[in-house]
Amino acid sequence: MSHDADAMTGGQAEASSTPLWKSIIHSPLALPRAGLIVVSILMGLASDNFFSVSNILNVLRQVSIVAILAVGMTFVILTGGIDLSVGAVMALAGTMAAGLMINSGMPGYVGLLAGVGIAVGLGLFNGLLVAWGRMPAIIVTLATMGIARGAGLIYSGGYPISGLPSWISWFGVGRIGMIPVPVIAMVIVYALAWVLLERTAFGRHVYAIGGNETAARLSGVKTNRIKIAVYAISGLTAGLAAIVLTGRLMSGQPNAGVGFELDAIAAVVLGGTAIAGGRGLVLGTLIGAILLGILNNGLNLMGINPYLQDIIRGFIILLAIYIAREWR
Amino acid sequence: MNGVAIRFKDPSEALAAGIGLLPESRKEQGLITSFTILHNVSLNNYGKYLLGHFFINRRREFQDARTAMQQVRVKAPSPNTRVDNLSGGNQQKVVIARWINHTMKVLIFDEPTRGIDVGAKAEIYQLMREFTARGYSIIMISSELPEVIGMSDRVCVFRAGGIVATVEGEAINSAQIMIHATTGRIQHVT
Repeated sequence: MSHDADAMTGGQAEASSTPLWKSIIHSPLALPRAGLIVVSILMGLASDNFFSVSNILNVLRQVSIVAILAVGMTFVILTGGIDLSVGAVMALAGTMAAGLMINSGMPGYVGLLAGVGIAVGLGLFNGLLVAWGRMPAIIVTLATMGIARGAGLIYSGGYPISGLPSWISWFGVGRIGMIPVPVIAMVIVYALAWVLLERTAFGRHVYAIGGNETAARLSGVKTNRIKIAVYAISGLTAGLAAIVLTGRLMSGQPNAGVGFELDAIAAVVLGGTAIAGGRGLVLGTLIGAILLGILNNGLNLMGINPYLQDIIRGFIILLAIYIAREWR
Repeated sequence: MNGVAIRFKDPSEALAAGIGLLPESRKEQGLITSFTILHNVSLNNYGKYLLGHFFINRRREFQDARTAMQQVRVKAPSPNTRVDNLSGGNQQKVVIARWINHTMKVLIFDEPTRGIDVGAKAEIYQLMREFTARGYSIIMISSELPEVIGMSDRVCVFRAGGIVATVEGEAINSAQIMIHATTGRIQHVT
C-alpha cells in the first residue's frame, strides 16, 4: 500500500513502477472520483441539460462558496479538529464588510479587507482556544458560531445591508472570458492549498498532527503553532467565501450561510479525508464539493421536492462513507 | 547542558538546544504510523530542506532519508514504505534514523529495546555505540539490568522517584546496582 501513502502525503514519484490502473484504484481519490463519475452519468441520463457547458459552469459557480469554505475545513479536519463556525463567520464577515461600506462610509476594498480580517481574527480565536486553551474544537467552534451569528445580527439589526458599490458584484457574478469569477477564485484557493499541504513543511506537520499529535510534539514539531494556523486558515477561507457571497447577494446578509459548515464538512468527508485526521487530500475535497453540487443541481433539474432532496442527500452521504469504510 | 542547568517548556525547545528523545512507546509517542519512513525521518528536520524558505526540497529530503535509513539498517524496500508495515525493531530504527539525520548533542533513549527481537536489540546497541563514537551523549532509561550494565559509562539508580546512587566504571555491576535499587535512600543533590 505504499502508493496509497505516497499519494496521501505527497510522496515521491520513485515508487511509481506500478501499473497505472493499480495506482488509480489505490489512490485515496479513487472513491470520490468514481462517485463523481457515477453521479454525473446518472444526472446526464436524467436530464438533457446536465452536460451543457453553461450548466456545468453554473454548477461550479453554485458550489464555489461551500468549496472555498471546505478548503479551510480540510486543513482543520486533517489535524483531527473541526470548525463549526465557518458559516456564521462568513455571514459576519460579509455583514461587517457591507456595514463598514454603507454605515461607516469606508471605501469598498477597505470594507472587504476588514471583513476578511475579522474572519481571520475569529479563526485565530478558535485556534488559540483549541491549542493553548486545550479545549475541544467542536465546543470552541460551536461557541464561536453562536458569537459570530449573534454579532452579525446585532450589528445589522437583523436586516440585510444593501446599496453596495456595483463593482462588488464582480466577485459574485462577474466573468473572465466565460468563466465565472467565483470559479476562478475557487480554483486559485485550491491550488494554493494544494501547494501548502503537499510541498511545504507546514503541510507535512498538518498531516503529522492528525496522524499522531503526541509523536509530532515529542519529536519537536511546534504543534500548537500549526493548530492555531489551521483555524486561522479556516477563518481566511470563510472571509474569502464572504467576498464571493457579498458579491453575489450585493448585500451583507446576517442570516446567510446557515448550515454551510455542515455542507463543507460533508464535502471534506465525501472527498475521502478521514474525520479523525492525518489522511486526505484537498483535491478530494474539491471533488466532494462538486459532487454535492451536482446532486443538488441534478435533483433540481429533475424537479424533486426540496425536502425530499435533503433526505436523498443525507442517505447518499451515509452510503458514500459506508463504502469508503469497507474500502480501506 | 555544557555544565549549565536548563529547563524546557516544550520539546521543540529541547530540539533547538540539541536534545532529542526516543520515546518509550514508539507507536504512541515516536512514529506517525500512517506516514512513510521518509516523512517520519524528516518530520522534525524540514529546516534543512527548505527552498526559498518555504518549499520542501524533495530530492534532498529523499536522499537524506535513504542515507539515514541505510546508516541505521532499516530493512524496508524504500523510504516510501509506510512504517506501519515494519516490524517493531525496524520501526524503532526509523525513530533512530530521525535523530541520525540531525546534528544533536544529547539523545534520550527511553526503553529503546522494549518489544524488540534479540537480533534487532543487538543492532540498536551497535547504533548507540556509533552515536557516542560520533560525539553524541546518550541518556538511556532502562529497566533491563543487563543492557544497563552492558552499555553504560555511568549509571544513576532511581528508586521511589529519586536518584539513590550514581555508580561509574568498575562499580557498574549487577550486585552494586541491585543493592542501591533495593535499599538505597534518596540523596538530595543540590
